[in-house]
Amino acid sequence: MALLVIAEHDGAGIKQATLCTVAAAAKIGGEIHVLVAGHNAAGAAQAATRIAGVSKVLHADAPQLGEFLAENVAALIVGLAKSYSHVLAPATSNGKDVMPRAAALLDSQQISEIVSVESPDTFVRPIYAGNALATVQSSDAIKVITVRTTGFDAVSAEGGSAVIESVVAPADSGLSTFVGREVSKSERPELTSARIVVSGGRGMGSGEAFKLLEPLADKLGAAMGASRAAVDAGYVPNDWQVGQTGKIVAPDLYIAIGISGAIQHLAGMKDSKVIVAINKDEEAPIFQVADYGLVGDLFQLVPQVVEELNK
Amino acid sequence: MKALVSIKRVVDYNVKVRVKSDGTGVETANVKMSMNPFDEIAVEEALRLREAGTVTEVVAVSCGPLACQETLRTALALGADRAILVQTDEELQPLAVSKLLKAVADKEAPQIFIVGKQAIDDDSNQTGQMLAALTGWSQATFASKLKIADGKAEVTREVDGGLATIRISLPAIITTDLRLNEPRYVTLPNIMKAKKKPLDTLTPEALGVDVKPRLKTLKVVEPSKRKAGAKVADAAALVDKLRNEAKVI
Amino acid sequence: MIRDSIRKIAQEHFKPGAAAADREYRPPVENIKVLADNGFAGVAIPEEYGGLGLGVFELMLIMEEVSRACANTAMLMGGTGGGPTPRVIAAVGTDALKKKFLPKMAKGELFAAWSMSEPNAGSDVGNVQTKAIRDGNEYVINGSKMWCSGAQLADVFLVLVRLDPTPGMKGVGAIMIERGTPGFEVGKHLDLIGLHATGMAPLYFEDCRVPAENVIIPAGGMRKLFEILDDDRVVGNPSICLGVASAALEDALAYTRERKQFGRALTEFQGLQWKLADMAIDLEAGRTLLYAAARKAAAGQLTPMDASVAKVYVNEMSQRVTNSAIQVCGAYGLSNEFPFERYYRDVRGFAIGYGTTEIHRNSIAREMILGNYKP
Ligand SMILES: Cc1cc2nc3c(=O)[nH]c(=O)nc-3n(C[C@H](O)[C@H](O)[C@H](O)COP(=O)(O)OP(=O)(O)OC[C@H]3O[C@@H](n4cnc5c(N)ncnc54)[C@H](O)[C@@H]3O)c2cc1C
Repeated sequence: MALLVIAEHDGAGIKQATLCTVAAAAKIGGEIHVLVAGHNAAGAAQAATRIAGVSKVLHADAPQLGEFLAENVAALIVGLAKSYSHVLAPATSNGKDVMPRAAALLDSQQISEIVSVESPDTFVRPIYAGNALATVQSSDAIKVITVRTTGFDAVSAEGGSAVIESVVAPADSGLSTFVGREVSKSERPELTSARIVVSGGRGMGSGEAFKLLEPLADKLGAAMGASRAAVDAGYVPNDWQVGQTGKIVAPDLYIAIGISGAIQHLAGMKDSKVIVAINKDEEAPIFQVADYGLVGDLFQLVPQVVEELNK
Repeated sequence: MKALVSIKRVVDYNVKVRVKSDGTGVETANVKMSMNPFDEIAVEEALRLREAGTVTEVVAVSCGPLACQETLRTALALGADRAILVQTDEELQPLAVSKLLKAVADKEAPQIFIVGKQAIDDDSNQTGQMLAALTGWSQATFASKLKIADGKAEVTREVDGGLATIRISLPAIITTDLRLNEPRYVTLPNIMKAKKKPLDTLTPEALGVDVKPRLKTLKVVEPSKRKAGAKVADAAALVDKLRNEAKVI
Repeated sequence: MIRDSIRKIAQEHFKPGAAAADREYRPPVENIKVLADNGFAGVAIPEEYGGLGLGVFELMLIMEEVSRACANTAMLMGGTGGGPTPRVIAAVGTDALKKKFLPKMAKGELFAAWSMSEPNAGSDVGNVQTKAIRDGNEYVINGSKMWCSGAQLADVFLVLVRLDPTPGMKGVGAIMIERGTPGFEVGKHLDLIGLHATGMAPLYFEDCRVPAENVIIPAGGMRKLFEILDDDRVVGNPSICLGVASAALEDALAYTRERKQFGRALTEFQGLQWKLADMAIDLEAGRTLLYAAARKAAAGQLTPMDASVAKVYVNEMSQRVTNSAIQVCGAYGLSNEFPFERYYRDVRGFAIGYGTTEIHRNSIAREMILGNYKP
């Protein structure tokens, strides 16, 4: 049997998330087809033919698929799914919106956000916000799956030579119409809810020096924080303070720059998923909790990190 | 117009869950249980619709063991008018829950059914969409703004990279995202009143729904512990590790 | 559900500002508004006056949870419909007094204080020297009061005065005095070791004229007052101790789990494990004692002995537990960056307020000797 991957695309090209989902499909094994559903998305369909490991691209092009409305896309998927053993989509907001709707219509219990493939019917997925990993086995004939893209290394976007097959989209459901879209402004996120936090400490030496962190925070879409020592020294305002008496944060990535790592500070950030420390004192306690430590002069290292990120 | 909201009883979000040593699941004995936070947002939204005069009755529904009554009482104390428990001790997976909710929706005929976008225990993010599929109604997932007028709902959704707004016909399923509203507290006078509000009990059998699980959990483990921190040589190595090993950027 | 609800409110609204309120000596009055908005201001006020008419047990739970987040807020709550003054008004007040004060207190709009102590009348309440002398339809009040919690915020005061020249308790009664009455002044803040944000102050009366209908307890009626106070010895003072001690143990446990010395978390040292276990034993013994007393009070079966036993034990338990919490956290436990030193300071006064632990031991002993207690 073959596997169907629902592509995430922007009409002209294929998104990285699709490549990771193809990688997950390849782990399951079997012929891989990709569905490009959209309106005026021939470019994306073409791009999909070049994905390594894909043998066929199903291209459904219709105005009612333009904004990926769940009712219409799910109906399309349900119509196609019967010829597949697995239907996979990346766990993007589109994938999460559409796939369960399709799964229910197929009477299949979806397996959400898998991070690993154990066998064609057995998968690993995080539960309890990633505090536990469950291995689950599906008994459904058609397995409907969303893929957490960080769990799989993307396959190459080039090297494939799939054929394109046009498929007809079901008529518009008439239930839902698209009104508009608003792209988020790259304003700095709020400290306690940010996915990434860049924090400076006493080692910054001055308020002026915090400017050095801005390009890094901008690049990462990060919130900015500080240790109490930096706040007490008057470098930055009070509401930047992370720690026992300040804000408690638990971002995916916490970058501590020029912060020694006093226990008061650790209390405010120790639950971060990944901690990076940049400090010139090799013995600084922050390195004991850091996943990645970079020893050296922050005034040189921070611009270098920004430069690497821009590459 | 009637609004239904579904409610799941889950391990309280403040509890640090521990994986059972035999790998069969997480420890839930003697652990504080609460209403799923996204469901609190769902209840709040329904109450606001009622306070705005759009909705006339708010009914809270939960599926699960008898103890879910307590969670439903919380919904009543928040302000829901009545509650329904579909009582079963079976393990319930999202497909089964959506079938049960569909059966309740058939009886109650709401114009709007508000569901949390995901439960913080199994993190499936499926029930609302599945319920929409089974009822054949429109869906608006991950809502951060909801307006109802002229028999339609205009919903702003939180999507990757920003917000998208759609207009959907009623009846509809809405799933809530964090920024939709800030739930109120349970007030003391309302706790007193909740004791007298009706709470009905149904069963999957009575609703004619097969809830047998489709997924078998083979094992549950703790994610690998944070690796002992390592020093990296330079900025390039750091960015490489963050991209390819930790995958956080 | 009551506990869950108040815990959430207290942890989200009261805890974040607790350290600042203490440091800045600023009563967190905004918290009273939060309590009122969520229906927690009129807990003990009868339903016909807009309250909830809840019992002692619920009130104790609420006080415990508020104190777990902020002891100062719990003290202020004593000035709302959860405190002793409205209970006294409800129990013995005239209809006019009830109508005048209770509905507003139930909404959190009127704040009450309670004033018994004087410079020369502490444990010896019978030595109250503030005089109220009848003059037509009024009483003229002269004298001063000490240690009045909430004084700087209160709108109305229940004040113990000598209504009758008869010496001792027989001449003492109580009168309601409103803020702003000419001749009545609230003094400067009294700075004690802890509970910095309760607005505690002395009161001064100089030819202060108060309508005679404000007398709530006539001379010689103090027995009645003490009966009502017995319940309060359960819900007020020790509930706060229990809440603070619970927070201290909770935070100490979190801290010692994280803190590493000699390459191990502190909780891996058996010496410290035993200390933490002892804290838990002490805390839970106190909780059990207090809950049992609260249940008896709710059922109208609380004896003076029960109240005193619970108060003394929980007062002293909270000193031990908060003291140990400092010890297991080392210098950080003493630092004002962590809450431990505040917990320790905040509970200290409770063994003195509402009857010192010595005075309560006197009552326990008296009951024993009278034969009212069988071991
Ligand atoms: C935090 C706090 C809040 C308070 N709030 C209020 C309030 O709102 N309103 C109010 O009116 N008062 C309030 N008080 C005052 C409190 O009621 C008195 O402090 C208390 O009654 C004790 O009186 P005293 O301080 O004068 O001590 P004293 O009576 O002078 O006692 C000193 C010591 O002698 C001991 N002692 C006294 N008599 C005896 C005896 N017969 N046998 C054995 N030992 C004895 C005492 O136990 C104590 O150890 C508050 C006190 C505190 C600490």
